[in-house]
Amino acid sequence: MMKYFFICMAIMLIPLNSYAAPPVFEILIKDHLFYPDELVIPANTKVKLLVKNQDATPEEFESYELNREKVIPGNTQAIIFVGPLPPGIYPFFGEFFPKTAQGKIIVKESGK
Amino acid sequence: MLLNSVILVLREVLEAAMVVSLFMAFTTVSQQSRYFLLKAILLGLVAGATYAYFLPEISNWLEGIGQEITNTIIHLGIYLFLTGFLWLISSNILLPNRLVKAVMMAAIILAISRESAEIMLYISGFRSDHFLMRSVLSGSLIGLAIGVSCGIFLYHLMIALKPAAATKFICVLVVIVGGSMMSQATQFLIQADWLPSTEPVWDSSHIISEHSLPGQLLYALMAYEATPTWSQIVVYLTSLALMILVIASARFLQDQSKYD
Repeated sequence: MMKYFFICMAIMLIPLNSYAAPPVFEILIKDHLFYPDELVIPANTKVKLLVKNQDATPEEFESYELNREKVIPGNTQAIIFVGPLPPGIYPFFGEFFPKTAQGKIIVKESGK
Repeated sequence: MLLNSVILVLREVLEAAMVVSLFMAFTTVSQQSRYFLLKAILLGLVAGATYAYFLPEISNWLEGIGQEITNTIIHLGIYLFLTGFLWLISSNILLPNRLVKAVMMAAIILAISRESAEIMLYISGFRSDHFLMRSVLSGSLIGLAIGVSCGIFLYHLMIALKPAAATKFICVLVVIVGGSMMSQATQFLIQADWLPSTEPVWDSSHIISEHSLPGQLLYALMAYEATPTWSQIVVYLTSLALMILVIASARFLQDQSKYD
């Protein structure tokens, strides 16, 4: 019984792996600033943000518009899945250094 | 820097202060010693420090979504312990029962651990900058003081009621906090890509913005989200319904056993 259960589980996991991996976009944190501070991503597509914190201090990537929050310790990187989103402007900020760490994600229809 | 620290710390403290003051009030209403709650607060701070210390490693778990999954487990855990609390007191199992104490302590430890971990990480970032550290520390203390004051205010609001009314009020707030925990857990699962991300069902940011003070307070109380997704709404309502069902069935069984 258990054997069949595991075989079923294994079969169910296959399609998950064969999905096309979401495109990756990089954002750097340096001197409490985001680079780039305006990131254009395609509309209606799930993307993977790779946020690299090059400061020694931790930062929290936060966005009310994107409903995302993630602490990124100093000199580490984090992945954050975003989307699929309709076209628009989605601001984000670093909660630990909100005066300087500000940016926005611009979601655009591809080809425009 | 000072104002940032006040806001950041206040936001984190408010949420944990809710759970702590609810249970403080319940203990006072039950005329029991609050000592075990203080123990839970201290253990929560230790758990928070541990979480903050290992966060770089935890973040790398599960291909980079360890933080989201840990936060989901913490929020889910708080929900389960709060539900256990409701079941026990609705079954008329009250303090100083050890199981009641255990679920209360567990909920407080979990609630404080995540919030305090974030504060500790934030403050530790200024280790090497003594000039900024001073304003960050004073800002954090002010934030902490405001957050704790809100908790004390809520506590006195509840103990001013008659014991029976206070217990009912506490139960209602526990249900609201429980729903908020599950809503946040769902949010973390979406962020980790374990739940599909869908378009928001509505956008109420022009009525109450999450950036505004009422938005922040509502967030602390019931995880207010200006742009919630279907999965969040469904999980939120289901968790509220489950808690109410738990209270109702515990009471029903209680009444049944009286007649037997």
